[in-house]
Amino acid sequence: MAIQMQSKPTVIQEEAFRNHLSRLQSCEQYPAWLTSLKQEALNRFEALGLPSRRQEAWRSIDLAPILNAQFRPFDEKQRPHLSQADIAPYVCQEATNRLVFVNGFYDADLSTFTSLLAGCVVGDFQSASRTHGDLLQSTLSSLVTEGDDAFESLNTALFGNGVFISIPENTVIEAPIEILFLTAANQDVPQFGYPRVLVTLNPHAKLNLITRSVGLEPAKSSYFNNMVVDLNLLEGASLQYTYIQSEASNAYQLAKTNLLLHEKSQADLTSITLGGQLSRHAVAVKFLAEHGTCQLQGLSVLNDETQVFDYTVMDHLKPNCTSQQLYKGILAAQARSEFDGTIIIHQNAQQSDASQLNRTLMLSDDARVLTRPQLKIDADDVKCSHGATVGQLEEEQLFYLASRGLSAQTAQSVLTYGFAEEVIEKIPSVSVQNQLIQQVHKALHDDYNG
Amino acid sequence: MLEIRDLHACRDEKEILKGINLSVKSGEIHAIMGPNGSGKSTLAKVVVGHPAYTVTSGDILYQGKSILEENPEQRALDGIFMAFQYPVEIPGVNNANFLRLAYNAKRTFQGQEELDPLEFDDLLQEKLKLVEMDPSFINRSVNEGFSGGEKKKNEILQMAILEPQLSILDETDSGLDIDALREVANGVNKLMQPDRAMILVTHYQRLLNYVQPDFVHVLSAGRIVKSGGKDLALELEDRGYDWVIDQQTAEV
Ligand SMILES: Nc1ncnc2c1ncn2[C@@H]1O[C@H](COP(=O)(O)OP(=O)(O)O)[C@@H](O)[C@H]1O
Ligand SMILES: [Mg+2]
Repeated sequence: MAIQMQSKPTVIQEEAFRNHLSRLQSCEQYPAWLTSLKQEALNRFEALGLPSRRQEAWRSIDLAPILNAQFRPFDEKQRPHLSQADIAPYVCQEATNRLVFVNGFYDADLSTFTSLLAGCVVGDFQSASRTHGDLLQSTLSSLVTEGDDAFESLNTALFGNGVFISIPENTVIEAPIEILFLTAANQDVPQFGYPRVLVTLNPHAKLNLITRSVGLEPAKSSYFNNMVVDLNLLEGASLQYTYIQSEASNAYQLAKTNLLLHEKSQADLTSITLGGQLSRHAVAVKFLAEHGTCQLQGLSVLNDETQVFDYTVMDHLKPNCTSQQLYKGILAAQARSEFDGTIIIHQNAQQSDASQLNRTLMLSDDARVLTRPQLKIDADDVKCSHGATVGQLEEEQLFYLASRGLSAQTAQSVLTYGFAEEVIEKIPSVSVQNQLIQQVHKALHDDYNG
Repeated sequence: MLEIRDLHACRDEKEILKGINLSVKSGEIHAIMGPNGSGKSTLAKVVVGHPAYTVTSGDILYQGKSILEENPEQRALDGIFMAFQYPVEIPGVNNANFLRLAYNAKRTFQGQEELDPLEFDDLLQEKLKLVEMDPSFINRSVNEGFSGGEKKKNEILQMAILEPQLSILDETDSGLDIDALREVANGVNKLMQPDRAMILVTHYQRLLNYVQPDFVHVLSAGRIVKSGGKDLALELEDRGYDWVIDQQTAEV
């Protein structure tokens, strides 16, 4: 199959890319419809072209390190064999269902399934395409021509496996479902992965979902993860979703989360970024019907020369919907973060209530933060607010802790963690909260554990 | 225990303490009274080492040694405690965790094993009873959303847990209703022992009805202008501060 690229971006090194795609397409487990769907996605990607800094959504990201690296697909033969003990630090203890991928390959031995209610579809694409092929096909097909995000189309073209979840009407899944994408960069060549998650909550279904992309240290080479999560909430459905990025320190991650909200549906999303040298998480929320609510909170903890870009679009297409955003950043050393959040209120979307707040804690004079709130409001009867704060640890708080005998380092740790806590406490899993406390301290290279 | 000698201190180049002399021995309770802005809180904060204040001359000796070179956490570990007039709120920091960290910092300093959260909880429950504090406050963020009185009780709870040798209570009685005042005073009395000492900074006689001071000092414009026994507090309650200050001015 010939693939003509408009430009010749090396992220998709033509040869590696072509081999990868044809390997996918020749894979017996993959049905014909998926092959053609991937071709469509590829055409879409070619039409869009790679993002350039002329595009608003990408203007301050320097993609050169990603585009210039000679990434290769992960090789299944080189996949390390991990034990439950290896993944224990990333396991949500409350989760009764867990899907584990290593270097993009589904690992049935590490995965766990218990107590799924009747009618629930929870599985990797390969098994789902056997058991629920039509449903998977219609879900994917509805997404493929959507959007103007080239990397999203690239993901659709190149994903090997992924997770398909569909929860039937009126079904409540109490315990969290966890998806782990582990990357072990155990080869000398840079590699790429394209994780994909598709979630449909049918009317009045309820789900608590956690995805984590984790890089196992030490990573022998850099790698690039292009992850896409599609969340579709039908009428009255309710989702708690926690996204955790703790990639290796030399990894690149470009992630996209799409959330569609139908009538009276509710979503509570938490985005945590702790790793990677350059990462971007775009969250695109669309209110497709009235009375939807969305809470979106983010926390990034950055050290050294890491860069994190959070990009959100809260699209109020219909009246009477509520959205709240709180993004917090903790920046040390020469880290750099950007929050670019757009709230769009369409002309007929009266009685919309949208707020957005970005707060940054600077632990170093050399760190940089950029906040870009954008409001595009075409309705007149709406409540809309945004704000941003940038500050350091407060002297009086530090002194209070010192006056109780806490060392300066402990006091700083305690206060820094206190700043993060407002976001972490929203995560509906105590074990994950506790793991994150440790990871926040690790990200800040501080050995305090309290 | 505490010996303050001709202490001068300033903040932002402005001299606030202008030659304080004070000697506090084990087993003594001293009350410091005086009008607003006279420097009472400043004195307390200088003793515990607040970084915003600079000691320009004089000395502070604790257990016979100058502590001017010691940072606040060293002073705390040495057994000096201050209950703040306006305790700061610390969102996101769990009160119980904070109390345990503080307690364990002291245990480590004294060469003892740290307590784990369960062991510490037993101690915490006992101390909560001592200060008659509602246990629900320990699972909230430190002082966040506490009423004025609750904040003050939280200070006394910390004092009960840390069992300092020298406690300086800065207007712990203000903002308390009569029941809370009695509860706080009971707690303070239980914590007073012959080998400990206390300095009570207060505006009012009413705390001193519950906690009997051995000495009362009047601070005015950065100086101690009068010292006496507990009767002085009653006299101040009656006559206000002006006569003391006038008397002092007349003497000068
Ligand atoms: N942050 C500050 N910066 C400069 N001066 C201050 C500050 N806080 C207090 N002061 C001044 O120091 C003096 C003493 O204040 P303070 O010690 O709080 O008095 P008291 O506790 O007796 O009411 C006052 O004149 C007050 O205005
Ligand atoms: Mg005062």
